[in-house]
Amino acid sequence: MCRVLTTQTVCSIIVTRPSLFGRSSFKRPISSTVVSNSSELGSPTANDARQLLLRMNSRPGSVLTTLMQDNGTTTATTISSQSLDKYNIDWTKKYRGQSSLVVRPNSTQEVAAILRYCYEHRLPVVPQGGNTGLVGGSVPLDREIVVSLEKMNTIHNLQDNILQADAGCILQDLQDNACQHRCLVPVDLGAKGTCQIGGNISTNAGGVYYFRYGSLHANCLGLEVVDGTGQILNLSYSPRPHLKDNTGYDLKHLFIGAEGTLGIITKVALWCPPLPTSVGAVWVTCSSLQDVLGILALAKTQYLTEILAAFEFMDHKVLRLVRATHATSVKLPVDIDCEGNHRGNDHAKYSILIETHGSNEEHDQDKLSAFLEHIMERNLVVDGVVAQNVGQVEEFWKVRDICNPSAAATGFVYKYDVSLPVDDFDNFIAEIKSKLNSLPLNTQYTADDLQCVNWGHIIDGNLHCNIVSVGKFDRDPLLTEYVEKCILQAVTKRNGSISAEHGLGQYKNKYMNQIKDRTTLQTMRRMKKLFDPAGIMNPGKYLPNEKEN
Amino acid sequence: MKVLVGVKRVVDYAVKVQVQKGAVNLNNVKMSLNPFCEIAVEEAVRLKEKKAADEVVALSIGPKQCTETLRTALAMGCDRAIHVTTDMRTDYMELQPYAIAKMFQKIVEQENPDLILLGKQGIDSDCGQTGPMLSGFLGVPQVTFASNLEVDGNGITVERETDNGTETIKIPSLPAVITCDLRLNEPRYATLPNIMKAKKKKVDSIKAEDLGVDMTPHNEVVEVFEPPPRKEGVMVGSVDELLDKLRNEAAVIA
Repeated sequence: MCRVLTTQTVCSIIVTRPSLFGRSSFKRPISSTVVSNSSELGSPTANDARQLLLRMNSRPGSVLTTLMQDNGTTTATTISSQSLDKYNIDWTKKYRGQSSLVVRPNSTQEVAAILRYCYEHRLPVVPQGGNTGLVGGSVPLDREIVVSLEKMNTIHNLQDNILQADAGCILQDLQDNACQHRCLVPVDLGAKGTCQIGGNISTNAGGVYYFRYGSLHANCLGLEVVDGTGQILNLSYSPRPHLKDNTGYDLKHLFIGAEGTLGIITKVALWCPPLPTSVGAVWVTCSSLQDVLGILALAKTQYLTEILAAFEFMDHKVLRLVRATHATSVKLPVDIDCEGNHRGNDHAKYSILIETHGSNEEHDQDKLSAFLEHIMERNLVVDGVVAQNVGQVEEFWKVRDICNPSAAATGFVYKYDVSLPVDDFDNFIAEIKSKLNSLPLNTQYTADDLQCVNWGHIIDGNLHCNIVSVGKFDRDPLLTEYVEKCILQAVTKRNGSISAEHGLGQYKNKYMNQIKDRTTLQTMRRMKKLFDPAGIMNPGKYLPNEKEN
Repeated sequence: MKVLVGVKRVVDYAVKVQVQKGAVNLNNVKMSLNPFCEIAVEEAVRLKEKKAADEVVALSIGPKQCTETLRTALAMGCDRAIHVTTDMRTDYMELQPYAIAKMFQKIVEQENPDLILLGKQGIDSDCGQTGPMLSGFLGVPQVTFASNLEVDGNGITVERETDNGTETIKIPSLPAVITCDLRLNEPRYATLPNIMKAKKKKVDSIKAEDLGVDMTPHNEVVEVFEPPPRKEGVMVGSVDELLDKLRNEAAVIA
């Protein structure tokens, strides 16, 4: 059950972004102690660093900054700018900020003190968890103060299947802890070894068990948050989170998926169902997406139904990248030759990974066996393997989890995460591929330089469509513009969503004007003002730039 | 050549075992084929694929769920299976290596295999005794901890792992008992078509009592307990603090 991921970091170009605050640099308000009506945000100074350090009780390591002179009294907090790279650059190295001040509180009170100070002094803030996002939501755009939750990592309680923990807890630590209590954390994703639960909730992370256990809106029972003025809000977190609680507006839902634009999540209460005692996994290959969908329908509605926990699909082009980049660290369950075909079965083009969760192994094996027999009889599968032990289940997942790092190790990834009706997956991919064959003349690429590789949570209608410029690790702006236009058109035409689970961050917020109506956007802005009147929380992300409206 | 391969059903190696009432709790715990037996099965199937063996028979001793474990072995390529049924625990608590080796001896006398491949040990009791005892009872050569195996005329050349490296042993003639170590091979996955084929393969069932072996344990298990939990680590805030601790607390540097 407890899968492990070795996150392979990769080299790719760093995109430096212009300041999003309308000026070439941040400017301090004239009066630094009085809240002014000016919407102008400042950038932190050595004095701010000192003030924040005081609010952290001058604890060594609580403030990391390049702003202060090393005069012997602040040695522990003064560091080189390279040491701040970890906070300024996301793991795909696509986004880079220029922050010179990182604060690492270790309590909700400290988070509140930081945000109160930043609110009073109009200093922009980027909340940061494990920094594993894919849309640049957790790194600064410019010189914002980074509030890292990494020191807040205490697991408080796990009782009656309700887990209470600090927002900075690493997802895998929570999973391991829950496992010991025979409970399952209902969210699981490739970055589990690095990502933090606060970040998972702030981005409403989906992952592989979404279909079975539901979204974080369903499983998050309570939150403790600090809003953009420094107020602590107890949103059904204490004295005790409840499974059912219909008292008042359920504000925690606003913070789930808000990407740190309303405040900072400091504590979470999660529903953790009983750990399944019987876990099975199969890996099958198919010759067409039609067959994949046939198998999906049979698994979902007829044969596996209540024991079905995950249903992931990968095309063999991405498995070829997995083999090319991670041959020594993962073992492919099926043999993929260098052409991306399944050796001996050159018509297999897709792989499916299915996991079952239940409580009675004999019962589950009977169901799985009847299912497999049926899909074989109907010639829906080309080949497949069935995990015979937990180790093999983990090996299957390792392959699925390594898809993302494999694409990133191959070249720059133009990454899209879309929701579509499943029947449209095939024609959507075909449309994107055909668009790549008629690239505009002014890009540096031809269709041969680009590979379209796809995988995703097909059971949720969630496709990860990735266009990789093989061997080229820098982003081509013209290609970006072209591809994004194609994707947006193709998704809108099919009534899909341009961000199924990765969120908006600084990458996709610009599309909001095109996909949400004016009234809805205005309501969202009014709501943000309520929690973050000074606009200091993760500015320039999530909601589109107002001027472009 | 006919190969008999031992197949033990044990708690899955990825499961964290818990001690309850003086024994490892086996209730609702994932059980799988012992990883070293899996290597033995793989090696037997490879011998068959190389045409060195013409029949591979899998043998398991244990409760009715052992048929599932045997199906895994059959799906990997064994031709047929023998299941010696008993409800006694096979993790040393009740049935112990001496009795198991005796039972294997009985089956060997019926089946007359040329080669007996076993895992070097079961990961439940970690005894590593069944192979050596069986070779003693049969009066045939044995090689333990095999890391490579070549059929060589009428005999077999085996490389075995030792504390100092490897040792090559030549068995001039069969039968023989070989126990398999981790580096011998990397077991294959059970493929769908082979799993379907395995359902049709024969599994003979024999009651343990009918073998006429004394199954009473010769050794008494005095106590079973979990290892003490590891002491929690300390996060140091700086290199200076680390050096200080190494120097003054651990006293490992001057």
